Amino acid sequence: MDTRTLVEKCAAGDASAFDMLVERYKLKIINTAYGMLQSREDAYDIAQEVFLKLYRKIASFSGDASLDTWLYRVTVNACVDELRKRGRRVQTLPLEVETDEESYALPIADVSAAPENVVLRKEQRQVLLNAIGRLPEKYRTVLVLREFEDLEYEAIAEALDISIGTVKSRLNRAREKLRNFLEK
Amino acid sequence: MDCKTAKEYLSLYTDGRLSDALTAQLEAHLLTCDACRKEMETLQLLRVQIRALRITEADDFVLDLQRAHKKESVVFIHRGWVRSLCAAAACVVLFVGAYTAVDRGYQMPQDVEVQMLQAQDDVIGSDAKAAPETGKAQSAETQRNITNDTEKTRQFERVASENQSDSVSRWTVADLTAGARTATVDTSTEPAPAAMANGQAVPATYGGGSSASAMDKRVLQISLAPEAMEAVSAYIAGARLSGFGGEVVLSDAVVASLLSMEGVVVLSDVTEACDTDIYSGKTVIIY
Repeated sequence: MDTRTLVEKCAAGDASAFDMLVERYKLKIINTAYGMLQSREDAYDIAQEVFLKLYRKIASFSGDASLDTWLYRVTVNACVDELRKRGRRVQTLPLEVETDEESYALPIADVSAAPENVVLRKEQRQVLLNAIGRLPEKYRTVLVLREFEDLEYEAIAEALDISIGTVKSRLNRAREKLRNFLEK
Repeated sequence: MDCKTAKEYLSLYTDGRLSDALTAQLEAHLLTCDACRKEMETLQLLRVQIRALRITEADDFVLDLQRAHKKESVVFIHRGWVRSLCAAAACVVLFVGAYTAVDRGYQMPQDVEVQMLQAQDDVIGSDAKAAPETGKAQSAETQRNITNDTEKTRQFERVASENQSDSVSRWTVADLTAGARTATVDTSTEPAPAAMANGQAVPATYGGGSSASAMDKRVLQISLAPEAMEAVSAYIAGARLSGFGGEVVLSDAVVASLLSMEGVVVLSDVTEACDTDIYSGKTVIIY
């Protein structure tokens, strides 16, 4: 069943259609929030808020509107709100994680096969997440939508209401900063 | 192509967004420049590693969503206005009510009580009927039976008294679900219930006249029993509360009581948390 039909069914009060929408979109939303906040728990909280908002607004959702775009936008806004709240309790994210053996920094080497075949060790994941978490919000947002969600530049531009040129420059800057963080 | 230009294009190249002509120039440069080639490989590796961070299953998410469905309304409570609040032992039932009306020249009561009474199964009784705008407090007791075909009937009672009066107003769940604007009260001197009884929307007067300053407030999130939540939701819908909406102020004792309830979580202070979409639709209590 396509998304538009599901939305229409939801608007007509079909609870199972909403469940299907949740199932269809939950990983997208959770991953966006996870990339933005670096916490699975926080990502779940954000996803709940987003779906609750969707639940309340679905009756007024225009058939012409892109649900994907709307969901990404709402998710990012919710994450930005969360980040701003966090801003007052300043966090310092370490780029090195202590292990049993020695201080560990993310290795920039051994690229292998496809992403689904890449398995990061726990320490590697944490270092990388921390580095992403140090990115300024505007760079992080674009990077997350590109890398976590695999969105095209056009979709990112629409979701964030910025130009494609801005997407390109922010993405370039985000990657540059991230690389610098990790190579230090 | 020089190194500076090449580095500008690496991100686009990694995403396959570089034009054919520029791709050819960049690849020619990469063949001869170890530094730029290494940087390109680093970007590609980084991309692969970031994608490996993605969460691939969230089977436990639905349960959390179900819990969130129980938090459908925003309620703002301010310390200092309400003197006491008695929670039911078996069921978390929340109050609702009141607001500031400073812009109407109304002096906020200092001695309002809000009580939460225990949920009951089938029949509720409500007290006190009066026309608040008459200016006369009335204490007539009215018993009313209200049944609900599909759900348990709840008692949800608000008792408010003005600081210079012994008059009391009581609202029941029935009043609220029927629309708070038709709530019956037995005090004639308290504008807030009167305004609602007259069908007026409750103004959003956050902070206006509240004795608690913004710095004093914190945000709590409370999970309510579904039946209580329905009452609160209906009330809020009826009163058109949104954003900084209706206000009731809690005493320290009440706050302590709330904090002891299961599901109460300190989130943040009010100043940012409550004007953001993320808390819209949740039950949020500020004190």
